[in-house]
Amino acid sequence: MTVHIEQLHKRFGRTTALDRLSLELQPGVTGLLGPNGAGKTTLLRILATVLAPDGGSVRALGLDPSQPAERQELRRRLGYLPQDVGAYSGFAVREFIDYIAILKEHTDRRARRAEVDRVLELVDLTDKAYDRIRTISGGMRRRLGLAQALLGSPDLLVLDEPAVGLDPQQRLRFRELVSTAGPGRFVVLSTHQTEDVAALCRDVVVIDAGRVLFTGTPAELAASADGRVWRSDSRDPGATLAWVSGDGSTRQIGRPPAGAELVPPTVEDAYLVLVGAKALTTDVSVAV
Amino acid sequence: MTHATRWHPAQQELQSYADAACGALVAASVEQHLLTCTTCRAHVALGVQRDRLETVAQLLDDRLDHLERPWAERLLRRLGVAEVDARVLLSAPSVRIAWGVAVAAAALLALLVAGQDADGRTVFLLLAPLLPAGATAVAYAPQLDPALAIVSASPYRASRLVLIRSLAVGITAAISVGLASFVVPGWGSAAAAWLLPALALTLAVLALSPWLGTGNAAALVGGAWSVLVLGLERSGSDPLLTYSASGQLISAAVAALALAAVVGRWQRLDDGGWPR
Repeated sequence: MTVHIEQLHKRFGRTTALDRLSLELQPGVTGLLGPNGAGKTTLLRILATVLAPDGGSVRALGLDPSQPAERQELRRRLGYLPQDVGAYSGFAVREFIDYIAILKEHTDRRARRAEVDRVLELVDLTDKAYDRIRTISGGMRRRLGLAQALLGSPDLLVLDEPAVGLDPQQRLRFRELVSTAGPGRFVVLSTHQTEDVAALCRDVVVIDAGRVLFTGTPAELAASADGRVWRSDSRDPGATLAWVSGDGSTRQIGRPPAGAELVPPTVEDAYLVLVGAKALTTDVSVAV
Repeated sequence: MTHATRWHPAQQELQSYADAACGALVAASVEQHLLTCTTCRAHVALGVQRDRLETVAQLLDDRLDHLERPWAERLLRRLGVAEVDARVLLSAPSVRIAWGVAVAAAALLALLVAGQDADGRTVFLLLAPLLPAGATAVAYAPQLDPALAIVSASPYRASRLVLIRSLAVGITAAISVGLASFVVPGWGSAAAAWLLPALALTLAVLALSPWLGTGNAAALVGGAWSVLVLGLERSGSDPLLTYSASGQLISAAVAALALAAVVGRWQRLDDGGWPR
């Protein structure tokens, strides 16, 4: 079983968010990388069934969301973390998760109570369960969003920038959580953190201007930049991007001059090669 | 903590306690002993029937859930409203804001028209039918429901959500305006005539919202109504014409048309715009 996306098209006014995008996702964790405005959020919202495409088709978990009954069934089997977790600030943490659990048809009270406790424990929010949402930090809100997405151990987990606002310890815990989501499950996440992709994802998809630039494993993405990353004392004319690294040398991406000291590319290097100068508009943590 | 205990209840007493078959005095005595005696606690634990334990735990959970919920939700549950519907109705800030707006606006309207004659009636005529429509628009506004993206990805039907919230807010607004209408001087039972125009305007807002957005639909419908009432007054006609038999008939026709549009749109709400 796969998630199959065919010729997906979506416009917002004059802006094309998705331009006949086709993609096939396998079970496991797939990371979406791309500059701001690349179409990542639009794609995830369509996968989460909260936004309809203008054209094209989606088939997820063997279900076609354009059919009302199948869309309902898909919603029973998916968890969605939107980019902005819009929780009711007057609610207690536990109360909000309980509310979403009710909407997700967890009708048996005892089972629901246990499930709410389980997801709060997973995201390390048990000790904040009775705190008002307005009083918790941004990182905790993110974890709250993640907790509601994990309700019912969904077969398809759609996470829009799940690691934003998490401290290093929480990010490690998040990685552990997602990587152990379960065999056969689909996890699709967008991120600006290439190290999350390298550490977590079985597959990576780079999109830009609503089109797919790359699909493959993180290792294949890194390998795609072989011969395009080098190091020298100062910026060379052929460099698209260059920055002074911690050891004082200048790491450069682009067309290396003859005799340049090539270095093994990372996932981040390869991403920068793919999207070029547009990377400067993203949140990727590179000092240029 | 475990203390050395010399006295232990008889096995028969422990079993009758486990079966809830002993009297209150024995139960209190056994209970006091169990607080400090792990041996007897173990006997009781083994003696309690599992299904009874489950029932007690369920009762406890239900009681705790009941106590945790706000009074309004508990009231709705007592009235037979399903848990999910009660929660959907009471959770969104948009609904609470709409209720607040409706009640406050109705109170303001009452203050405005109290003690006035013809002018008071015109002001009431102009504003009364708009309040339920405006309040419903606020309840329906997606911008005022921060959790809408998460809710939309759940199996709970969007059409049911809209229906429940619109009904609740529309009815509250109508009751509030109805109470306010009592202060309109010299009008008597005719004060209820605003109900049909209010229904027509509310349904028109709901019908137009999918195309124009909630705010624009409310502005358009409210603007059209204002132009009609003020136009009649400026032209020297009686604004009460909108409340005459023919005015009521027109209101009924508009309400029927808008209702048909809303019903026709119902499935589209659940489709969320997905091509079929």
